[in-house]
Amino acid sequence: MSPVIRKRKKKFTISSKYLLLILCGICVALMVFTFRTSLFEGPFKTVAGYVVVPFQKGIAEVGGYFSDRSRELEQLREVLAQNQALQEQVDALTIENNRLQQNQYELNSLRSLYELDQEYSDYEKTGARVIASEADNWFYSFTIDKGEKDGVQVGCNVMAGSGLVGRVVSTGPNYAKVTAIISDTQNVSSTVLATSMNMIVSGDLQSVMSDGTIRFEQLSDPEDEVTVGDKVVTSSISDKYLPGILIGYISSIDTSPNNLTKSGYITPAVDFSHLEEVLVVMDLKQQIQEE
Amino acid sequence: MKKSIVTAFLVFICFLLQTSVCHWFSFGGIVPNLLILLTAASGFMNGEKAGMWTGFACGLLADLFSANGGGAGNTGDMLGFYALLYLLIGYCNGKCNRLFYPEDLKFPLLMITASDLVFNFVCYGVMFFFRARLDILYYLLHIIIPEAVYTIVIAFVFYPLLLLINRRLERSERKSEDQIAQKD
Repeated sequence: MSPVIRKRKKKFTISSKYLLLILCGICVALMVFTFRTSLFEGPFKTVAGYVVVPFQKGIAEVGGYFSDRSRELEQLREVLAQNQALQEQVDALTIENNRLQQNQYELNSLRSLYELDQEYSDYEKTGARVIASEADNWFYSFTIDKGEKDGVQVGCNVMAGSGLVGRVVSTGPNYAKVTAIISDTQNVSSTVLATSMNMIVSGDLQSVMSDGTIRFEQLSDPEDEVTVGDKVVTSSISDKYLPGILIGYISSIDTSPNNLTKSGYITPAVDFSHLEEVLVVMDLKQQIQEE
Repeated sequence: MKKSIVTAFLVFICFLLQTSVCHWFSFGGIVPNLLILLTAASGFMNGEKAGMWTGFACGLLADLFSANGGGAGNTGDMLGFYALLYLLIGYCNGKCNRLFYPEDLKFPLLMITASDLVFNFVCYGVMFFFRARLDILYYLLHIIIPEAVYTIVIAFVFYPLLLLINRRLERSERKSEDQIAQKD
């Protein structure tokens, strides 16, 4: 063979050290650029939305089918056992119901005070399926199968059942990333329903892992009015969350080291380990304030 | 060429498994880290460059679908943190390429464990320690070590599979090289 042809076969290669430097440089540059700007968002999101998300949707659908079937089997056994227990409960509840009806008047006045029922039904919601979770064990966030095309925007609140799950932090054409309120970096301004005192609820990986609770802080309660079991909802002064969405119930209260405020733990109203379908609230906080 | 296409395909599959399937099999909220497994394996099996590219691809995907922007808080769109971390892990594993023999099972498992531990230590350091979550022992015992153990258990199944794919690819590569040599 002639040396000319052989030369053509020689591939262009760079030393691995230089490749390392170049790739590291790219990573650092990406971090710097994407930290505040949205320079590369478009192409990356399109790739993610049309290459990865369809597969995740498929897997979630298959998984949903299997989990439904297995749950049905489990439930059948449970239901038989529960039936008996429930019958006994019905008797007990009938008695309790009579007592509760007497409290109806008080409840109605409280409701009108907080306008809870009205506000809840006012929010326009759309259902979405959880299709993927975080790739590591440090944070609680997930991807849902609704995106910009369905009108989901960054900042939309996400609920499951009647409880707050989190908020949308990033959207693609057909998917959106949601950070849960139990994630370690998240803080929610909230209110204890019984005393309308504001406080900060913050996600805490340590307490979530050990007993499924999240921390609250800066609760001013000089009269010791707040008790274990009180309802905690999002406060009206939060700039990210709509007011009056249930977060959870207080599970323990301590006096903070500063002796002025109280802190403690809240049991979230949502079961974060079995999230499959969530509700995205389409109204944003700012829009509601304008009205 | 064939190898890089197959590796890209593997990265994709592993990412899908990691985000969509793994959490069905989580133990106490802990899922194994397949991306680290793949990055490390690709590194010590095929050298620094392969490790780097695999790590970079894995990390970029993880970044794209992570809502925490490397712990930066509210910006859901910061890219590059995981990419850099996986990239470096792939490179370090690639450096150990010379110590690797396909018959030896201890070394790969050791490398995968070490990679997972380093990855999570860095994650803890950057995203938790700096935000004054100082109870390192708790995080070590409840997240870092369980994840490493779970990853190793998965590696017992997953790694031989990767090895098999790698061997097949190498064989077919050698075959085509032989053919070229014969033509020459």
